[in-house]
Amino acid sequence: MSTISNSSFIGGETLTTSDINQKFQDIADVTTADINADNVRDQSIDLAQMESQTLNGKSGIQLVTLKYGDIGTDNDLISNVAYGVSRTGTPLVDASGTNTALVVNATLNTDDLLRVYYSGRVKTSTTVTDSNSTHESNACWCFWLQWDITDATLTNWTEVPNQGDWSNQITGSRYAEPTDVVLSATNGIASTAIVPHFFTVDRNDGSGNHDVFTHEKNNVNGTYYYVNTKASVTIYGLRVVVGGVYRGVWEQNSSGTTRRNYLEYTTSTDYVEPSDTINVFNMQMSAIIQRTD
Amino acid sequence: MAYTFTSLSAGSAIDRDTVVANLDGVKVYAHKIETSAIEATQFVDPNHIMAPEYDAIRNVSTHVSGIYGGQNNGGVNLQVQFSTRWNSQLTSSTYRQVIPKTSLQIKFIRPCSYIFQWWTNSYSKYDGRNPAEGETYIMVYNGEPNFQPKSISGMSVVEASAANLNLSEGGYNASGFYAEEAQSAGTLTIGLCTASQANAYHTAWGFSLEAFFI
Repeated sequence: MSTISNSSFIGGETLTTSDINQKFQDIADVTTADINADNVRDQSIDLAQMESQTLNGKSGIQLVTLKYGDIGTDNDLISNVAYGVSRTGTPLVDASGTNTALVVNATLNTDDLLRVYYSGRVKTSTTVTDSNSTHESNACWCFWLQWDITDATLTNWTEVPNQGDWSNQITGSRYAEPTDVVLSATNGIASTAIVPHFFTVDRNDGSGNHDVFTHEKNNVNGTYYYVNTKASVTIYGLRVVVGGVYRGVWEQNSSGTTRRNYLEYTTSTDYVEPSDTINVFNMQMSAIIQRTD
Repeated sequence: MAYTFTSLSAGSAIDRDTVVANLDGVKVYAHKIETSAIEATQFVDPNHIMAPEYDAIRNVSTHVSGIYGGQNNGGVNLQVQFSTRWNSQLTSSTYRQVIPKTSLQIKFIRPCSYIFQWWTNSYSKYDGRNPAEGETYIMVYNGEPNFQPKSISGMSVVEASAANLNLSEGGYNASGFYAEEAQSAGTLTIGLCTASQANAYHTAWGFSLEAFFI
């Protein structure tokens, strides 16, 4: 405790240098790493007592880092790149075909929270027709996150935690636990944003036929939250990959007991043709690291 | 460092100047406590920190750590807003209008970093005019809605290609965000703006702003 407690000089006694030294020593004692809550009144701590940054507020008390930037094509409303079907995803590239990423270069300490947002415009194209579509319209493209926690060369990309890469092929209409479970459990698609491939509309002419439509443009907005319960890592970069076409299914596990919802890569012509594409315009990404302890 | 004083030598006469210098030293030290004087373990509790201020009209709260604010429109509070060819140029996405009730004006008392997020439910009906399938853009503006050279989180709502597709092909969920790594102290005006080649309307929307001071 930091309350100074010292005895008064006693009347009638001889004052010594030792008595006076002790008076000052009492002050020195309580100001040696001992000032504490006893010295802080209610609501006395305000921004003036905080170590805020002169430019950006990234003091590390709450906000460790905040990064924001463009990925994919140029920051305009016109430039775009077409991506073909892919099971394990294709990183977003610029107009010259070079991979793009958000450079982060920040440490994610144990218990720190990572928040990532990405958004942009897309356009899907398909040659699937009424004759081979199932009218259920659950074909989709997926965007998800990869990070590089190896070095600043940004050449060692892996899926972020709780994000699967669709590399396991589901056979016999049954997923194999645990290898496929990342695709079936909700936490296996933690960073995934889904864009419909097409939708169907009943012609309402009595024929029972449907027309297949794609949105002239569509929007994608992805979010990702991760509290690092493991050792500290340095996040050198984050990037978005796009893959598809997937479809939503509800299948049993390998023992045929438990059913789960999950996304499955598909080449069925009910859902996708080999020439189908998704055009991706400029995307923007933000990564925020916050202290939680 | 802790308060340091000059000791009086044992057995010597009490020196008046030394005593006065030590007393003066205490006064000076008390005006600037240094880090090493403070207990190293956590001792500041929430009651020690300046209480936040809440603005009920804007739904914005200002804290020591930063600012948080946000609003929603929809449901029983339905207030439709429009993005039409009539209030923006048909061919130029750089001429933009603010979408009413989607903006916040915030005074930052310290430099900060912030993130603004938004969402809308929007529709663009078939209108039979050129351009067919006219596009409506929704973007974040920061201070000034017009003549921005970049898309700044631009999203699209595209006109339906036929009247019977108004709610399906012409209906969109749009959302986006904008972040700034270094915002100076001062007043920030931020919200949604729009440019349209068609006749879109927004039936529900929401937005939030988080600013970090520390």
